Amino acid sequence: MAFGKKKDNYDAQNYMKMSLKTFLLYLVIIVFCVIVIAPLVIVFSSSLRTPENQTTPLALFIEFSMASYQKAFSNMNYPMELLNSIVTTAGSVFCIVIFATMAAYPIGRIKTKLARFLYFFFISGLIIPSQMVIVPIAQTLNRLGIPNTRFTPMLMFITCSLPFSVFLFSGFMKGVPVEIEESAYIDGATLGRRFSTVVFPLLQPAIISCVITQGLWIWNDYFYPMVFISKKAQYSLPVGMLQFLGDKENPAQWNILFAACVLCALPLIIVFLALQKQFVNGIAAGAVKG
Amino acid sequence: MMKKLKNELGYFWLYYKWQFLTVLTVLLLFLYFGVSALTEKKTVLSVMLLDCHASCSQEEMEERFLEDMGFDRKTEKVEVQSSLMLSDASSGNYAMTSLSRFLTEIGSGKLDLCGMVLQDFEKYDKSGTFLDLSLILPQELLARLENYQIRTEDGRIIGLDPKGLPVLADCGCYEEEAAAVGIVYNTTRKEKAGEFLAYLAGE
Repeated sequence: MAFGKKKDNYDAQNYMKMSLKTFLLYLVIIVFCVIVIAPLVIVFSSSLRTPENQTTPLALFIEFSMASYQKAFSNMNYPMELLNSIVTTAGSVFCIVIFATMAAYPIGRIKTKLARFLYFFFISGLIIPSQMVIVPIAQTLNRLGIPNTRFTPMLMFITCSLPFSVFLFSGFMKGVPVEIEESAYIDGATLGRRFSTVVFPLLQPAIISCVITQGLWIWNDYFYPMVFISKKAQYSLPVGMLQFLGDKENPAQWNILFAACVLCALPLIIVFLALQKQFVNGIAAGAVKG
Repeated sequence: MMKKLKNELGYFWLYYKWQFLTVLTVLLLFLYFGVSALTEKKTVLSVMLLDCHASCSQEEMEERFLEDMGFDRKTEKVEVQSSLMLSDASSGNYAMTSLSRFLTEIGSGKLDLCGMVLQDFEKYDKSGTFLDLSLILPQELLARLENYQIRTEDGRIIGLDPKGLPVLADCGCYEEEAAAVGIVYNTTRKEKAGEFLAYLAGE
């Protein structure tokens, strides 16, 4: 009985300790969540105000009006810019996945000095920021006769994404068993067939990671569209949002800008919500092998 | 016969659909780029007005300049960039991107005329960005605009004050701050740029 009582006291003490530890852990997690989510809530709350409302953004949800959204939608030419963003992002991501997997395949498989050199050649592209060499790139494009159209930023996105994507895929390629390919080879599959039907489907987790990281970057980027596109009809969403930024004489119209931010992020949110199951399954499929 | 055709098409689609779609995509892209290249209008003038706070839009200025300069609307175009900001941008990223655009346009030799606030104008002229206008513009015009000339210490006339350019003033450009408009040193259309500057001055 005494022993049982002591055990009860021991469990009670332990429970108190675990509870305090768990409480502190939850507190830290909640603080981090608040730091991350608070700006998003402030943006959304401010976007629901009229453009004239200048009260502090920290006063959350004091007004519910779609006036800022209407103004942002009409001033931005939202449908055209949305189409431009979709074409640029989808086209660039598609090309990046195709080119990067095809480049990573021999780099991951062939064990020669040339393959190693090519690997480091691609990796070296990660060291130099593209903004630093934008002037020589523009000169080269001009000499090649490539006009400033909506495809010029796509060319830049594909080129600048290749180093990271090749790095990602070649690392993943090394984890793909060679035996599967060998069995396909024995069955008479050509190199292209082996790549397209055996290797490419096994790269699904890496492809999803590449699509998410590069797609997000391309969707949000305004540097290349702003440098290479002159016509307003070819602007993407981030470039269209810049008009609300204002200057020193005319300060930013924050409520309209926040509404434009929400409109810009909305397609990505919809895509993620629609495909989140596929994303998670794809990443999980790579985690469990065999 | 219809059934045979259907079977053949089914076989073709089953075994060659990716090759077919790839060739079709490539052909469509060639068609798109070919048509774009053939119908592309020639840029006869490229103007960049940084920090100008114009009251009329870029498109309105392009239309006006195209019409007033007598260019062929069907085959020629004027490019005006008036939304870029260096000094007055409220965002550092926007200023950096505008600067990159400015440098790429100059570096690739596409820019003919540039306007910016006086401080930046003099700063960039230290690396010889702007031409001496006395070599391009007629002496009568320069004499008329004597009070609006921007001169360097060695006597070169590198730019004109927009307040002496009624067309720019009409578009609401550079109303408040001190600014300058000049011809870029590596433009391939010096005469055209000179004519345009004369037009801006009301000639």
